[in-house]
Amino acid sequence: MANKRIELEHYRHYVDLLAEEPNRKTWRKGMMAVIICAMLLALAFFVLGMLSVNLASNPRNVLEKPPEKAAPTPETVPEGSEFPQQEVPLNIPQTPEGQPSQTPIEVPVTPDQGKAPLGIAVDDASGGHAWGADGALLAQAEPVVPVETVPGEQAVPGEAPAGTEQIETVPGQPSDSSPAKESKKPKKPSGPGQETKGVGNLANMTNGVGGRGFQLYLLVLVVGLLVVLYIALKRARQEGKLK
Amino acid sequence: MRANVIVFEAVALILFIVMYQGGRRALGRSANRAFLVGAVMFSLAVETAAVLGGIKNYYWYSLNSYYKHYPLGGYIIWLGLVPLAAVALWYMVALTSYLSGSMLGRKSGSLIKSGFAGLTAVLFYALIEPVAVTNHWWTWNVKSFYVIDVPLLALLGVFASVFLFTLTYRATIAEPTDPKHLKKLEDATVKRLLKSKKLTKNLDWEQQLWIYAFRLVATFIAFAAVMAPVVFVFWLVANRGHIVPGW
Repeated sequence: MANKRIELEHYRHYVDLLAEEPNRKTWRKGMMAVIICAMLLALAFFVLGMLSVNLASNPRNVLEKPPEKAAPTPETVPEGSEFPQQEVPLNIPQTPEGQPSQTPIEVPVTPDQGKAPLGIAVDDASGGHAWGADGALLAQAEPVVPVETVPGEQAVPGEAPAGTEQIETVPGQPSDSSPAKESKKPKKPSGPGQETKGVGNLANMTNGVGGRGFQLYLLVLVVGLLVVLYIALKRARQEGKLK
Repeated sequence: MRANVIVFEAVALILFIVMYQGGRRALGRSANRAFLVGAVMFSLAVETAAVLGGIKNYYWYSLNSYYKHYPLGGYIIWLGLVPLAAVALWYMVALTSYLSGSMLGRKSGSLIKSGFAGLTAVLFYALIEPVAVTNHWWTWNVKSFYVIDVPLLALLGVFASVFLFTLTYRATIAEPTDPKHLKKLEDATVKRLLKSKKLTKNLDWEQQLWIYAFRLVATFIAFAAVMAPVVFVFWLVANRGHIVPGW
């Protein structure tokens, strides 16, 4: 310490190091503050990682496109406005007499917080079932499995927004697995694709070790990091006691 | 459950303030300020080069109004193409690595201490990167070799950047020295502008800061020179192709 002070005296004409150089006690306190803060940072990332396990288990999550900026949707229907007849979905089967059938049909519901689409009167007494303007049952709010995300689809990965329901194909409409589409398979590009496989994919690790792979990885890393930081902190304390 | 970017930003900025106060005590007022400014400028240069070079992007959260159902949506404060939180995170990791590296290799030279600092930073980023890419805080675009959706290039880049930065800081501010390989260059350039032939440790504080700025530029060039062949090698053994930023 004495040597250090003599050294600082020597240079004090150039830099006011005596004012700048913290004493050992202050240095030790600062060091402890930084290391403890770093430990908190590591723990914070551990917690954030734990919260992200369900996202990490989706193999396509990392390269998912961001959702488009949501267009403003009218929240309320002004009083006195009438529901136009033509806004009733066209896929309601009709009886030969032109009356809508009473058979419940599931229609695609937009993931718009579970709100009823415009032009459809919702009868609270009917247990949340939506009815058309002329009495047709349009949709039943049955809990169903969320839609599996398809590459290129604008959906937040790993979590289904409220109101998302499974979209079922209405009979008569062409499905994606039609033979015409199957015959037009794109050529396999040369070189690595845009999706990682094997060791490169986080979901493989996440879903491994009984679904706890990612949690174990985070645990091992955070423990390792805390040990390294603790050793540094311990040495700083020892140095402070020696001097 | 989603760890939205606002959570990351809040954690980073709160801990940054506390860590800056700690760094002020540990390094001294002016030295800590020099560390902060140097770390911000250096990491900003590296990150901006990475974004411009199509290596990574912050596209998911580039606009505040991306998600109407998340509070504030995206990053709040930007430094050009890079969010402030990412730069603050690098400063915190570099400061912690610098101090712990000094303690882990306390009887060793600057190279070993900076090596320990680089390894500590790699441990940090090995924890941060998977969480970040999972939550789309940033996305890696580069054609490279990936492990758990993180390019190995990124971890090597963290090691190289922290190693070089802490080495430069130590050799200029903490323990000023004049390396032989830099002396000729500095004498011909920055010291000529400063009109001084003194050793770095004998310069006054303002002149020392000029030397520090000059060396940081040299460090950035050295970092680019080190990383260029690494990028090429991983490009050859890539297991994931390039993705156009913004898709």
